[in-house]
Amino acid sequence: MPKDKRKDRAGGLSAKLVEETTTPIINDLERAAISTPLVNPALRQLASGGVSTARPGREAAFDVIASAVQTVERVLAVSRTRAGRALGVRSPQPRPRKATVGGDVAAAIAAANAAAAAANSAAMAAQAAATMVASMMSGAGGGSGGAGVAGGPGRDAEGAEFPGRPMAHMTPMVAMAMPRLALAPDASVTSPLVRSRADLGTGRLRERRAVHHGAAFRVPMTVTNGTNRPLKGLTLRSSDLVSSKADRIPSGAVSFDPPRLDLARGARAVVTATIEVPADARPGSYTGRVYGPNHQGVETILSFSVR
Amino acid sequence: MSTITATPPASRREVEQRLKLYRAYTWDVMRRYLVVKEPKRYLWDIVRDYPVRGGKGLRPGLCIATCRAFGGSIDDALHAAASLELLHSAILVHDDIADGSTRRRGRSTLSQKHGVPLALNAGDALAFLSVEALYATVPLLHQRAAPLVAMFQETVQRALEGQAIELGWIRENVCDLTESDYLRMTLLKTCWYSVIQPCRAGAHIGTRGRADPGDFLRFGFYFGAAFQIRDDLRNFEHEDGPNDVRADDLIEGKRTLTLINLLRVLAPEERAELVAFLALPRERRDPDVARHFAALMKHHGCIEVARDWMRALADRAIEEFEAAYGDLDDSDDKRFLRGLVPYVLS
Repeated sequence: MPKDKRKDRAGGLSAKLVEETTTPIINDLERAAISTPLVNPALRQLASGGVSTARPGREAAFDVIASAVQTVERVLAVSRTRAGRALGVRSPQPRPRKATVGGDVAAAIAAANAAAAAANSAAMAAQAAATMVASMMSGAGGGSGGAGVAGGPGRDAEGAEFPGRPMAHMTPMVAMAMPRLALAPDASVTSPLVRSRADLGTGRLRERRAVHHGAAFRVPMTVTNGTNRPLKGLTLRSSDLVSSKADRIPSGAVSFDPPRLDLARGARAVVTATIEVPADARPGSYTGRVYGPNHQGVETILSFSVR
Repeated sequence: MSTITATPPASRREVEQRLKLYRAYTWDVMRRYLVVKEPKRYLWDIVRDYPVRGGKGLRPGLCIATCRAFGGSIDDALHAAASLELLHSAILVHDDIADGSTRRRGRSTLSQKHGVPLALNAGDALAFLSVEALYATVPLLHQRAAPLVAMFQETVQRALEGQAIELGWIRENVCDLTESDYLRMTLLKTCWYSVIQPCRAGAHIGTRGRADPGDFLRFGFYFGAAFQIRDDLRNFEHEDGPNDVRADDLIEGKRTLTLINLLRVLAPEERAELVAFLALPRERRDPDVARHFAALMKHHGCIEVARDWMRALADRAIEEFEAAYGDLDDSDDKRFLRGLVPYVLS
């Protein structure tokens, strides 16, 4: 933010003083981050983010490919959606792939490079994707490629085993690389966020209600479809509920009614969670997550006390 | 508001709920490292004491939420979060010994309960357990666990340097300090292990090594420094009544922002009295005299000045939050992280 727009909220303290005091510290901090107090030069490099250049070639290649695949997939998805809109038809959802990385890695890297260079061109990206996917699929069965880069488990430059990895592992890896293109949450769930005995049940009860082990109670949750398309087959699931003393109520103790939900775009529905507190549950404050296992961003926190 | 924010912060209640959730998950992992075995009475019971007392869970919260905001899962970050919390406990044990503190989280310090030798030993054990928890990230990160270990080593060294500087000031009764001196010491003592490392560890894990650890330095400094000032200010909050403050930091001779300001604004005679008080060995510093100087801090507006600093740093922390996290997709964890700044400082 430009300095002149920074209104000083800090009472009698001038923004200038804060700026003059902290800027040299920040400058030193960022310089010091380059020359850390670590004695070992290898550790110094690692601590300052030098890892990307220090990775074994095979793993670095994998990252490049993973990133490129994701880029291409997203470009294609956008193009597919736009084309579908233009034609007035619903574009089919891409099928999940189960291929593993392998095959001719040199060709795959070339394709990845092409994909990166073609970031502004869906046509070129699609071409690169086709080449790359074909190359990876052909190697998935374990055909031999370049030195040490065959499909399935191989060895990196230092001889350590490097197993082929399913494509599913790529998603979290590249989520940061392409943050703006990541999927928007499908829906949101809100709950009374019960945390005291008084809030348990419907959240509207005035009297204090204790939850004893062996009892059951219900928590209504509002599910909102915040997307511009209908949601089909939304299910909710609970994690284990963990107490501050690490006691657990297993996830199976929580059920949802209705168990499955279809929601038109923008629509809301109430799902009631029923928590059956096991007879052997120890007293304490329990907390856990309620989430949509197949719908990104659907999450709320469930919290309650057991006496 | 002095800042333009793109990320709506989570409400106070939502922040509390998520902190509680991540704290519970982290404790579930921590307890695996805190197994009670022999010698139980002389070591492992003592080792468990501080972690069992709990706390806000700021560090695990930052680590797990950052990991998720960057694409990772809760499970991915749990061992790193447990490692941070164990390190925090280790640092608290050693700090309490170094500072001669008697109370921690409402109870006697380990050194008060068990004596310095056993407490010191338990603190060492906690430090090494934190390393063990960190190594548990190796199966997940493979080669990329190495940078995490290097960052951890760096963080520990910074924390030790900061603690050494503060202890050195107390030992030599250094009384001509500035805000800049304080913030530099705080950066080392607090910001690195309380904010910078939890955030960059979470991002490193969430992205499998793709995040730039340097992205969290500024946010970590501003938030960590504001957090430390808030912690210092708790010392002046009423204990039993409006005129009763603990003033423990003054008794311990800690160079807080309020003390630095008081030393600057006092008349020469009063200043000389304060300097003489600080020159006394800790056990000879009279609590009533400390409370007198605490009252002077209030009278001269030193507490308000410190609060102003805290707010100014918090404002900058929020600006830097946008720089570090702004490009990420909106998520509950991102909103939680944004909401954590005002929550912790309130």
